[in-house]
Amino acid sequence: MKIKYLFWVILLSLWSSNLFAQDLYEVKFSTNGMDYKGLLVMFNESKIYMRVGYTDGEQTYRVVQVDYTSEQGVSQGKEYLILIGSNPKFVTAKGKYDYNPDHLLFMGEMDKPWVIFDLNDINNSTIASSFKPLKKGAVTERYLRSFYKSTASDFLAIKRMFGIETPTPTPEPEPEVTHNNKKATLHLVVIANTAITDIGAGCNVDKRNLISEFNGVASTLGVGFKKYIVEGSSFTKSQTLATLNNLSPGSNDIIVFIYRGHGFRWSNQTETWPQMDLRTNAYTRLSQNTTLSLQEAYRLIKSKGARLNIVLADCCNNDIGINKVNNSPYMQMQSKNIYNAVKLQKLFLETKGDILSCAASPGEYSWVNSSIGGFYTVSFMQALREEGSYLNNGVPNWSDILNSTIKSAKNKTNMCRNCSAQNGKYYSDVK
Amino acid sequence: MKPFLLALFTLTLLFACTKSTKKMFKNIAKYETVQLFVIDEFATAPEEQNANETYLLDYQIFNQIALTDSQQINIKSFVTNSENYTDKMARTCPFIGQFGLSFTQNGKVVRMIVGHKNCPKCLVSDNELEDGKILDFLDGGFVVQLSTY
Repeated sequence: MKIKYLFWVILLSLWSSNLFAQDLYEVKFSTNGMDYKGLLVMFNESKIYMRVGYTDGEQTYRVVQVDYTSEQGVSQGKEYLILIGSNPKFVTAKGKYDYNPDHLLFMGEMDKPWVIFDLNDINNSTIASSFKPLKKGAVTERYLRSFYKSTASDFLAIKRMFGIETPTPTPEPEPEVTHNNKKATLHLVVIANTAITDIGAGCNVDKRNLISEFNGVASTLGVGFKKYIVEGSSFTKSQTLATLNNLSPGSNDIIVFIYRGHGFRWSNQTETWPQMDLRTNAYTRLSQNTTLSLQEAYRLIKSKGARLNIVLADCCNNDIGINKVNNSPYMQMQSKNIYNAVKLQKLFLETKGDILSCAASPGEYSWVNSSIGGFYTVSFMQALREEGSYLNNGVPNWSDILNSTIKSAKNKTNMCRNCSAQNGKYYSDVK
Repeated sequence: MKPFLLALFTLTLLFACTKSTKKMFKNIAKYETVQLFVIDEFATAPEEQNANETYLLDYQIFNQIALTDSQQINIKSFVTNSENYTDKMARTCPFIGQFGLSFTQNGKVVRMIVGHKNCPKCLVSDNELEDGKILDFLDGGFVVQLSTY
């Protein structure tokens, strides 16, 4: 199968929420007369592994697991992504021979990656003979058994993910999930500065992805879904407040509030959480009329009495060198439905409480890529999918999602040569 | 392939900016006169502008800072070096003006609004090319340097 623009496919798998949170690819390559078949499992840019199966010099079939980290860059004007292998561990018995980890190099416009066997000797490499994504219907239990023991948790999870086996004891979600005899509804509030010159495109990407993502979450859970979008020319403080004030969730409902735009902190500000800059152009001055603190939005949302409140802001939290001015009386993505419904239930329906989080610590910038979106927002969607996936062997919880979001967003800034590190913050009181 | 891979692993990272930005940098490089202004933090809409005041890309000019020849060269050198900007990445902090720059020659002009060092971005506009465009500086060092002039 020829995959055009493989580099972008892989990069998007790692960086964006446009594809599965857990992407699986098969890679085949040969060296020294031996054939290797790898199953590449990618969660995000820092959590990747490959199971490699091969018959060794003792004519014995071996399987080894190699962990990967990714690095992206540009060389001579061409973009590349390299997956650097490390820590090879034999899944089968080891035999006489060690296994040196392979490294995969994806270049723009190449349909197969280079397999590099030694980073110190770049001549010791070959182009993979095949590279293809694994799709539902094309994966059999026998195929997976060439990489996993039958009791391996990932084997069972991938089987479920690909619909090879229906888990027997796990109950399916009820068609209408109720709590206190009331049907739950997920209210998604997205405040996105899609019209601003510098980050508008990235905000628009995030907005589309968030709507699709949470629509998919609600659909998987079988709960109602309502969305409230403040964007474009309606991106104002009055519209934002009106939207929040008009929210009327039931006592069993979930509110997810996500801000995507400029953020900052006043020079004389002491609270941790950033100010949201609700202007769409430079002709409007920053003032109390045009800004809203994340904490105030959180307070308003919490006062609505929903069962679960999730308040997130992907924006900077740096001092802009201006003191707070008290001058005003104005107080496409398609969801892939890869979620494990039972795990989503644990997150959204069997919890109660409040979450408040932002993309950067006081004094820090939050970064956005115009094509891919905000690092924090993308990382949040990746973390949500990972936690709610079949491959998650543990009990899903919001702390893990928030920790993973913050860590992954920071990793993305580490991979970006021009970005300073962003360390998000969160407060969680969810039971 | 070998030379390319070698180059790859030396991580020679090149800036990939748009054609129009490159053209703008070329124009700035060949324009002789550089002027530096202290400006308002926010732009003033054209209909609200005072006829007695001067504006640069709708930012009110408070005063002009005289530049030596070497300072003008330093500014041009910094502004036209693509390595001083982030590539495709932007900070999500609000743009707040601090300095204005104009690069002129024979009636042609490129105007630039330089943001506060805490959110180091610039708004740049070339009459010959597209409308204003916001670019992110690598850091706030340039703004600090302008403050010393």
